[in-house]
Amino acid sequence: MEHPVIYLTADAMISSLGFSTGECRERMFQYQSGVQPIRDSQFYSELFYGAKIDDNRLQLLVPEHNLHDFSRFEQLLILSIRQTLGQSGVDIGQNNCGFILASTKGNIGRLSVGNETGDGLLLSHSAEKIAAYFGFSAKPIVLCNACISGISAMIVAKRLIENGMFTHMVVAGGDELSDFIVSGFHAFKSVSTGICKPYDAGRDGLSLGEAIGSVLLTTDKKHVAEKQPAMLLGGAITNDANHISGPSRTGEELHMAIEQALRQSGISANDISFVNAHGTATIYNDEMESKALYLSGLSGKPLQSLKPYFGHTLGAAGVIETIICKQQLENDIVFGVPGLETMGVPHPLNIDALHRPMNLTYCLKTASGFGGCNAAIVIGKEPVPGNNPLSGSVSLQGKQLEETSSQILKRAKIVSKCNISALGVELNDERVLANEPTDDFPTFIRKAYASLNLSYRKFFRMDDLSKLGFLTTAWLTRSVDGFSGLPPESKGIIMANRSSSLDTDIHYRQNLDAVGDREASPAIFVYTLPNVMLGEICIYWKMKGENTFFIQREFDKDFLIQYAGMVMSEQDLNYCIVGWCDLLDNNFLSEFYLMER
Amino acid sequence: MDQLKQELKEALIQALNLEDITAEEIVDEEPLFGDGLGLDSIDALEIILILERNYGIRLTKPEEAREIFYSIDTLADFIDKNRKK
Repeated sequence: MEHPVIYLTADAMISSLGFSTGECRERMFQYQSGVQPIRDSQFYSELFYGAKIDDNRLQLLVPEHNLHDFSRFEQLLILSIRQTLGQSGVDIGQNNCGFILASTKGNIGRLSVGNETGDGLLLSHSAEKIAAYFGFSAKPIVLCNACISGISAMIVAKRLIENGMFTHMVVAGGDELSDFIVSGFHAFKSVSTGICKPYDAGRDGLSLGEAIGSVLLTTDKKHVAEKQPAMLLGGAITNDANHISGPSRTGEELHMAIEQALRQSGISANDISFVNAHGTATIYNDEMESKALYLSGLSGKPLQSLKPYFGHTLGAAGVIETIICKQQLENDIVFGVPGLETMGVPHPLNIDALHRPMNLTYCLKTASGFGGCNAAIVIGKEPVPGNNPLSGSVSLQGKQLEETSSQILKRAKIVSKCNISALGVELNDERVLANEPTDDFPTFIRKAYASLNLSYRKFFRMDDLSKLGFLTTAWLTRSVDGFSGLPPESKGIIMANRSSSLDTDIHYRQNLDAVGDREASPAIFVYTLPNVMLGEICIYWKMKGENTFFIQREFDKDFLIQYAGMVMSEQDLNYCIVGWCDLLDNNFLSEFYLMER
Repeated sequence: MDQLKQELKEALIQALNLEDITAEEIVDEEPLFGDGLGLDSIDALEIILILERNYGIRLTKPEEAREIFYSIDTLADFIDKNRKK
């Protein structure tokens, strides 16, 4: 079985710079930034720099497309996806067309105390509403992986297409500005005092932004209008296993993701024409990236961060930045990084404040985020027929797939199972700890922790979702001697749940309302992403491989096991923890499987 | 001063969720970060909030905190000299 070529074609983005890819691109050509001073108590009690989508324009479009029944987040997604579908003419009513939504916080702006539950806040609810609006027949897939969400979604789409589950996939990513997000990043003291200045010696933090992007991935060339279309060639995800909010000290883990993405693409670092990095302009992120790029032999390649144009758009960033990479490949230009005066990272990078016209063939796109996650993808431009690309090593006919997914499942087996519910803990279907029906979660989890004889000071400082995931993993991995000592890159984790981090989101919202946005707690805010739980598990059990968090309405075990099988084969993992971990209020349920290959 | 130190320890235990530790177990001169009590960068931000809320001291740069936050002793000394409430 051969891997098909995956084209990145029709696309549409809505950002602070405009309501279409073309409009945003033209503004970028003129060095315009969407990041502006914002003085609006709806977001923060003091002035801050951020990038907002023009609400007046949105309001004009709502009646035109009859979007009154949707939240603003959903309206923007619909407007973007509508453009993407219009360009491609793909038939979404067919089962071979999938839809992936990536977002960190979705409708979180609607969370208020007294209105904490209900479907409206669930990411899968938004995805289903949008899928129904367009008439997608396939069930939507939702990703929530902190600031790599958009790239995660591209990688998931690529794998599902390569394994024959879909021919086309619409990948959408989005996040809105809200007081929740703005106060949280202020609590981390990581918001810039002007337009952010990635890699500059004078950088002092990130500028937040909001955006929505969508793009079609397809193997069917008849839906591809571009003369030299962009192709998604490779992608990988790693974890730092170091800290839930601070990036790696060495950059080794992002470097690993880059290496894997290059290897899959069949090219070397030298073949890369330019790098589109994460470049948030926080001191530590940019420092870590410069180390990773140095380790990858990419320091000399033209590099950029697009954050000065759009701000950090969180779950949208990976999608809109990939769209702009595609635009740059098509236009043979590397956009400048406005604001750069003095290089301020340990290993100097090749950055220019001005746009640079040059012949481009391959682009590397990276991202990193809370929970210690890193992601890298390689995008290439199809050569003009009869004209060889820079490197002859990539086969446009596709690479050999070593094994089909049914073979993967035969080779990767489930070695243990652990679930924790209100009834207690079950290991391999045997009750190992019973719960008193009268115990609430904190009481129960304290007993469970004590019964394991662990000594890990960090445990009590995690949020409840992380505690649940942590203890389930502790039981699950007991069957493998010295699990934490096994090679870190050989271990991955793929999880899903229904409520995302809503339990902690409510806790943070209460804290924000009680103490005000200038004193909101960073220690609570950091857990308002479900994949931070994966980060906690990766730190303790030293796991640096794949880490991906899906949001599902119900536990789709078959999908997750099958997906984990694909990842284990592709990324050469020996172990993968797969499962469900959901907690909201005092309702909790985990069900983990340890897969071994 | 002893009362301030006790007060600080209790505030840290509460704000940083140090459930498994009592105030008596925190040694005045031992490092709070790294090998000592094992606090990290997020905790440093929480301590900055304690300084603002309880003592009216505003630290704007987390980098400044490194020496001040070394131990209960250094922290109490700094608060004693700079407190506005």
